[in-house]
Amino acid sequence: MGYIGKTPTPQPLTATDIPDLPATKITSGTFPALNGSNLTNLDAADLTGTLPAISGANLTGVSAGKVLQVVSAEDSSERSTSSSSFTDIVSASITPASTSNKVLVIVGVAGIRRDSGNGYITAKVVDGSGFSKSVGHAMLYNGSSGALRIGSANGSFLHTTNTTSQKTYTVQFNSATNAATVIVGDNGSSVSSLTLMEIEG
Amino acid sequence: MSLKNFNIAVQILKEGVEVICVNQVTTEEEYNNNVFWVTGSDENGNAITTNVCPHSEITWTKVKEEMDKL
Repeated sequence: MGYIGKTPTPQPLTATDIPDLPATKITSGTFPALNGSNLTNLDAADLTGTLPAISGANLTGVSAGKVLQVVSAEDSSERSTSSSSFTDIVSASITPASTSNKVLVIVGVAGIRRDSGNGYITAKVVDGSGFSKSVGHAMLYNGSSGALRIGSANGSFLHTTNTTSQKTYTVQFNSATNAATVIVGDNGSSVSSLTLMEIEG
Repeated sequence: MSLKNFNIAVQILKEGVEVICVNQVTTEEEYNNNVFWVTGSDENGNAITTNVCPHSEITWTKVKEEMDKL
């Protein structure tokens, strides 16, 4: 642009000097790098699209507590015993990746029944290496004889295995006093289960 | 129901017998495969069992007779 007289001092332009610049006029140049702090007024409704698939490996800032693997087993057989010695219901195996990891054991014994007598049932989880946790003691006990049903017994606990060898957990039950035949998986219509989760230590 | 009648029949034939059953016992084949007679327990309290009935009072024929009466 031409001028008369003294050369004007150049003044830097700011955004306020070009209030009506249409976006179509911005045809070249480089935007500065943006980060989340620049998006100060972004409405949540504008966040559309699909998130990328992630796995536990994406949780790099989590120092402990990640679920590394899950193993589960079920049993829907009707099982009875009149013995105070324990017999198996369902088993599952897991191999911890580190000795510092833990195994979250979640167990459910379903369809617990006796048809007569005054006996009761004990259920527990064992690992074959001396570890034993009771899931329910004196279940069905009511101080008298006769048929009795209860829905299920459930439990969960965290086991520090201190090993990277395979661990096999087994849910067992017995007729605690030999005084009655006790049953799990009542009529084959109930499902007992055992779920193992390896938790990063 | 089938396990209920089987267990009642066994206890009629020999009260107090220790036996473990799975699924159902309605035939001789199931009697041979699904019934585990407790003969003792190991150091962890687990049942030691056998498929061969160690009780002379109990046979499939006698069990079936008792089950049919129920």
